[in-house]
Amino acid sequence: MPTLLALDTSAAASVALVADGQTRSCWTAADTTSHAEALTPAVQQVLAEAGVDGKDLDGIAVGVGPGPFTGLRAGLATAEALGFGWDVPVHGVCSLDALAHRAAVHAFSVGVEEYVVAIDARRREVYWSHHVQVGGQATTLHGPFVTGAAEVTDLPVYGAGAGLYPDQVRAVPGWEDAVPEAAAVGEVAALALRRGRGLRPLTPLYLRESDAKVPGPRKRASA
Amino acid sequence: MPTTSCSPLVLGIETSCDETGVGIVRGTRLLAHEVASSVEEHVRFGGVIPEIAARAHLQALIPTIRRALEAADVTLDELDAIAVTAGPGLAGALMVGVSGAKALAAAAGKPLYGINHLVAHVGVGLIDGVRPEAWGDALPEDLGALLVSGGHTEILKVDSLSTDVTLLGSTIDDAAGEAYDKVARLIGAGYPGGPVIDRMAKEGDPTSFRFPRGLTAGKFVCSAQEPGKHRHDWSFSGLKTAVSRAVEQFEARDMQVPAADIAASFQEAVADVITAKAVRACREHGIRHLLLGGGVAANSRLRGLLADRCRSAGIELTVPPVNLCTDNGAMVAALGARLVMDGVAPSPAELGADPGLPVQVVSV
Repeated sequence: MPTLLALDTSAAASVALVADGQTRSCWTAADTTSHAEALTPAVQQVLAEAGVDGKDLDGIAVGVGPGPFTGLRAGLATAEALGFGWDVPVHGVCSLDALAHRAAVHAFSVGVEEYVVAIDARRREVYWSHHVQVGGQATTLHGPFVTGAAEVTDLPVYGAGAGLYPDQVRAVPGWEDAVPEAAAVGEVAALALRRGRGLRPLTPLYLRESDAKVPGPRKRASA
Repeated sequence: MPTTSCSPLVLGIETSCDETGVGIVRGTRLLAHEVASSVEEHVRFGGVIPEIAARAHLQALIPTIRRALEAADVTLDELDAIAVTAGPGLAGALMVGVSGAKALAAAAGKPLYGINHLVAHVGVGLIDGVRPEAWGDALPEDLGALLVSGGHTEILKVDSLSTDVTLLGSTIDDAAGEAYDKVARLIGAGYPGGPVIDRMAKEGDPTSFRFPRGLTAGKFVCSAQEPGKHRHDWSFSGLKTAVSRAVEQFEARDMQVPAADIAASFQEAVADVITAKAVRACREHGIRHLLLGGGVAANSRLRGLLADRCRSAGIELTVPPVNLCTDNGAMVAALGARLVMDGVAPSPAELGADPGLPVQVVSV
């Protein structure tokens, strides 16, 4: 199993060092508004705690969203620049896949096959995707999407997106605050590298266009 | 001392607006100057859309850094420092550059300088080939800088580039370049407004309309001894409204809008008020050398009138090449190198982007 540095900024910011299937050290941001300030120092701290030099990594795994745009970009810019600086490969992981990876273990234990993971997308919407677990390992069936909670496929829903809209979706108890985290991003990347599938390009999954509107023709003054 | 401290090798990253710029200098010598612009993506909106600019920065950042290192034929390891624009600028755009620069500096084990975008425009004056020979190796005393762009209209006094920069005046509403974009839209000229209006103005009569010069009334200006609150400030919102009224009046009478005359008269009003106020600020603050920066420095009328008025006032004017006036990474690198040479401490690990960074703060 490779030694990977993992970052995710799709909800709270987190950094983890994952080696041989184990999380050797990790960090999670207390607040979600200072990714640019906190990420690089957190990376240095996580590496120091694990006693790993950046140049010796097998790769960097980064959550590419979906999530708030500015945070995603801070995570991706950080991961890409680290990869460039250390000359190690950078792998993209859908952040919802990381949450699904964690949920799969629970779904397996309670005998649920298909399930949904959902996180807050603000504007009264959720980011979500539809998964199936086989033997406790997750595979993505559909998504990611951004919609109102009422449009989420009617299955057990894991994650903070369910916690926000318990009247509209079947929230799985105990998972109402769950969000993607770096350690799970690293585990998904390690699995994907072994299987040769499941990675994403290093492009944020914005899922929404910018809010900018093309201005219409200017109104002419009339007499 | 190692030779590097005399002419440090510095990579500069600029992402404050819609240009992803990466430059590399060795001391004052420019080695690389790479820019990726998202201007084409903003054309249909008639202005810079911050979210679109930020998305483009993320795509362009690493490829532009790679191109700059190749152009300069240096490796990351050889750098003495990295500099990045920490502000002022668009928050989302700045955040991409700052995040990337911090990670790059950490991975390469280099000191990082978060620097002021406006002061970096002045840093262009340090670059070999831009810096007038008479200045020798350094910037002269009595230096001022006039920055005119889509985001800025400022006049600065530069006593020490690394530690002592004073804002003498600035726009209190739109930047000059913003006014160009808005007027260009009013007369259906296109985007960006600067070049299209400059071109149209050549066909028009600049005296055909008398558009207002903002903040020139006595109550704002007063006297050199007792300067008014806005003596050295600009305002372009009234000018924009006046142009809008004129256009509406032609349209309301179903008359053809004399676009070229409006463009020429508008441009005259902008160039007149910018240069008159800038030269007065220079005179009253003992500025003998003025450096022009910002994208509007490409404007032919502004350059011409500023040159005339500086000459009359005995002020030496330096206008860098246009591609160093618009936002770029070379200026960030040049300022970064100056900070290294002056022994200024690098930025702390918790460096962040500051969209409202005041000009007095040269480095964070």
